[in-house]
Amino acid sequence: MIKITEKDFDLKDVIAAVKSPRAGAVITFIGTVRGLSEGDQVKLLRFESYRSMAKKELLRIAEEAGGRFDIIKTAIVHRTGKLKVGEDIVAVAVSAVHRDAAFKACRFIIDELKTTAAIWKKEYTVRGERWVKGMV
Amino acid sequence: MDVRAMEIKIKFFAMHREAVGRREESFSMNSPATLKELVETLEQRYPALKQLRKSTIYCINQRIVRGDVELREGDEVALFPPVGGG
Repeated sequence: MIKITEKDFDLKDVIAAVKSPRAGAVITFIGTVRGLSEGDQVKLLRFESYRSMAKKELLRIAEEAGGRFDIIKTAIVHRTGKLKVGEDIVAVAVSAVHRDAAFKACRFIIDELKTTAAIWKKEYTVRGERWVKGMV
Repeated sequence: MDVRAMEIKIKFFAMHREAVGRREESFSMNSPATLKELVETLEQRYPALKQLRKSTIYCINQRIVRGDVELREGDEVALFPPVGGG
């Protein structure tokens, strides 16, 4: 499951997508909207994506994780649009025979996604709005 | 040289989209033409893009392009700032 969507997701569905009878571990990560950014109170975040390009990149990241770590399945869901404080932004789930590979792969996927996916984030704080500087 | 018109689709994202005031447009250019020529034309039309030049990533058909390349009929060119999800 690799998805970029305006809709909210249910972590249960993301986990179900990576479950396998071979797996002894499922690791999940959820990124949520933080209420404070550089000392300013955040009202909401707005995510914009170049969907076709971002989806290709998420597929590449999932594939690369599969090559680097001994894992079974991966799922990545990233939301776009306006999100309020506390709402889920992104979910990553990884299944593996043993937990160590799943932990490492999950970490690898979220770190990569943070720097290479064609997604942009705008913060709306009490002091105004600003684009969050991208990495690449 | 054989000169033909070709259609290029251009997409803008994030602060680039805000700077030009639109998400996308179609552009007719005489072939052959390069990305650099397209960007020069766009910068004339949207001077705000010049200010963003240092933080602009150029893509053709969802691939990041560094340097100049020749454009082809139907190419999808995208301009946007550095990326980062999550």
